[in-house]
Amino acid sequence: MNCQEAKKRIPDLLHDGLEGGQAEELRQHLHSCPACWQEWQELHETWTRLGILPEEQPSPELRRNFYRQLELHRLEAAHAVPQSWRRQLRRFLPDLRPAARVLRPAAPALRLAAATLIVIAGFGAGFFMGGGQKNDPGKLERLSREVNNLQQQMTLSLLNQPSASARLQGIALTSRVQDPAPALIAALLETLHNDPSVNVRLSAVDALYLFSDREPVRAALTAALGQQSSPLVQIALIDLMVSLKERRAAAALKKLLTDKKIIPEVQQRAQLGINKII
Amino acid sequence: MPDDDQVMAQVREGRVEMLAILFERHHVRLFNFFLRLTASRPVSEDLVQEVFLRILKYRLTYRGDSKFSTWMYQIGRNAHIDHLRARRPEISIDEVWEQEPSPQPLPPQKAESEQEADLLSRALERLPLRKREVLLLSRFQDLKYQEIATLLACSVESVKVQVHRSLKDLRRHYLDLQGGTR
Repeated sequence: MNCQEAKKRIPDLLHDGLEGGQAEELRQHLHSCPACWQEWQELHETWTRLGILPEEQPSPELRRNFYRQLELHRLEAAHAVPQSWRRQLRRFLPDLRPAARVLRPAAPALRLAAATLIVIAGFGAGFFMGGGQKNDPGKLERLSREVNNLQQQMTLSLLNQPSASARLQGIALTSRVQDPAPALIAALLETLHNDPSVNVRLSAVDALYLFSDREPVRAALTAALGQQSSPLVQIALIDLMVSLKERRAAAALKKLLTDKKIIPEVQQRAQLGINKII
Repeated sequence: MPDDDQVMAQVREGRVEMLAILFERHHVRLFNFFLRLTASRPVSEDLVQEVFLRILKYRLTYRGDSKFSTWMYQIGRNAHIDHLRARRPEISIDEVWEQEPSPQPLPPQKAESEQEADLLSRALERLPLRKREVLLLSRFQDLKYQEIATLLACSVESVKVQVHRSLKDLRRHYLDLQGGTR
């Protein structure tokens, strides 16, 4: 390998990588040619140094604006003509095109009449389509189930994001979920147990309250009492147990009273909780 | 978990709410890409917003024959070019792209750790947009040279040459700034 070839390959060594043989050939050249070695060193150092640039966070306004726009778009799409209707209309288009060509140079009065006809036809179509949906409860039910599934998928995806605010957004979405899948409950419990952010764990407690009519959720919340290290989350869980009047939590609360790692404020709250539950 | 292309396929089919997943995955990185290109937070936020609006608007044109991120950065580049055109309509876009930026006044002295990042950012800002862009795409956006070549409509070899030259120029500007010849 000569110097010109070596210089061409240096960017590969920095980023995409080279096949075994080519990489070895380049390394051999770099070790035997001081000029190319220096060039490699300088470029590699600059490439690596770029890693110190911090990742900046945009303002919360960006996320708010995005979700506002998305909601608007979703609502618009929900009121648009469905795809199947468009397909059916498109089948008639070849027949209509010659007529449209004839009408194009027509007088303004004729264009106005055509426009009026289109508006009336639009109202008619809207009336029939609206009526059709009302008469098809099965379709509505399917749609509602699908939206519910999508919400759950989106929530699961958000709960796995590295950004704490995205995970909070995911937890906020759970309030809209009608019938949570076991995977969603498991993800919320996982968040409660292991999320590094106290705010996210606190939100998970609130979200799980919505599903506390389920036996596994109540059991997991009771177990979480002894596992949380943050006093804020401990207090949130104690309050939750009291509001649920969960008698089985009394034993876990009593344990908190004797645990030396628990701060006095939390122990006082636990004592008050025990008095209310028993 | 569905990958970007699977999620985008659902957005294309009309499940626009799925775009939230792509937003959460990409908006911070996209914001940093624009921030390093424009050196302006408000402009970068506007551009990120614009990119996701265009994704919604042009979702039916997404074919899935290239990676979602390549398609997204294509939209991002176009949004940035439109922004540049609107800002300086009197100059051709090629000229803006190749122009050496004029040196900016020095910021106040910062702590040592911040100072190095600051010098590097300033060195980056001294690169013409074309060189800055190719470097940002390869170093920070997780795009392979082949994907960048698709995006910039040039050959892979040309991308590699540009990365090589941009790095050399960046180093020169960085050393200039470090040596106090700012």
